[in-house]
Amino acid sequence: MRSEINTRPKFMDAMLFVALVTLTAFAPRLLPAGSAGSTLTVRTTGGVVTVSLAKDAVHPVDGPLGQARLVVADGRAHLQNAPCPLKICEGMGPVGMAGEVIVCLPNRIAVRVDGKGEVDAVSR
Amino acid sequence: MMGTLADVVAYPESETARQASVGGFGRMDEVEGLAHRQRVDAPASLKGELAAILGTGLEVSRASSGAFDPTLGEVIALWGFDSEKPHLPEPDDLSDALGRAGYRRLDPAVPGSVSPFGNSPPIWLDLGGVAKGYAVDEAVKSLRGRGVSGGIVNAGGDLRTFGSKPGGKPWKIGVQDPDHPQELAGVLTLREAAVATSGDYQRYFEEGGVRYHHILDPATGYPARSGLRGTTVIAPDCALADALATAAFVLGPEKGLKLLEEWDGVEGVLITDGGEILTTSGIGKSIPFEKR
Repeated sequence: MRSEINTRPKFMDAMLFVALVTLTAFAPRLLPAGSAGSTLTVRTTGGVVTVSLAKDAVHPVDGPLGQARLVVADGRAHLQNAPCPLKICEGMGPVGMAGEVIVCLPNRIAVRVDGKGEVDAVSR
Repeated sequence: MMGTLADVVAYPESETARQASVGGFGRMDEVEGLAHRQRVDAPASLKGELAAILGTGLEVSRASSGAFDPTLGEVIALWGFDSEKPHLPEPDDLSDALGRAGYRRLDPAVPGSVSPFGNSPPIWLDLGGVAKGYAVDEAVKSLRGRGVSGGIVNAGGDLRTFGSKPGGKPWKIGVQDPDHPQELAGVLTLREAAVATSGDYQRYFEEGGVRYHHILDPATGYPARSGLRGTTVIAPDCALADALATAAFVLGPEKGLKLLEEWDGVEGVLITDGGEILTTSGIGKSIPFEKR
């Protein structure tokens, strides 16, 4: 799926898409959202790591464009100092509800809040 | 899309569903190009998808006496809400731009097309308030056409459910609490429906100690101060839900609720400045709603 997106620069700049559809890309379940999350799943080209939302910290996250900082504070997280051109990912945070995501397509970073959810989606 | 994040959940889980979701995103990509601010010189005739999107917008414009207006492109540009640095515009500039706007300048005389009246200044369309919903609708069509029997397409909180979850269970859709974005004001239980929300907490900036949000009142050109913090609309399609959510927000509690109540097949949840939750008559009946 990413290769599909990568071939379209306009798409990357203007639209941020995450398909939470199958077992292959993300967790094989509905989008749980609406309750406070407990952990973050951080996906990069280098692999997948899990980060606690319970502990305030700053985590370096590396992508092909450079290093961003994942800031966890008060049970929420946001990206900071992103090396991507439009900084849309910085504008997505902070997130803290289960099912919320931050995505930086140019730098291949996806952050998802995990936790026990009770709804399939949130209208906001 | 349009500055927000889009999710697709598709059932049954399969490679076909994955490919269908990519197709759905592609369809939204095509529609996204129509949502950009664009100039229409008079006289002109708009056709095809642009006219369809605008047609839904104008339907809501007329029903709401202009509380939703897709011709505010120049006014929105002055505020810079789609830029990195939104700012308070000069009053004279705002007044001039507002004078060139107005949905009544557009005439849906020919089915499928919209023509600006006569020899008048160009109109700057901004279809952001309806195109996102339309894109969601198109993505759902694409998914269904590719054999996906159930799922959710969600573009930054404007969403549409179709089919049902495995086991036949209905969808649970949370309505965000404007005062506490990490919490829900309530949960809707739905089968097939579109849901869109407009809130003053979504995009805003502060200048001189005043908070300015992005939902502009077409009557003044300034952010609407209607007594509402958020409006959530449930409708048969997402384009309509999108436009009605904005219109109801601008109209305020009483008129907004009346607009939604009188629209066939539409329900709504309105949250006031004071945190009171107002609902149309079908909420809690045909559409279960659990307040939190």
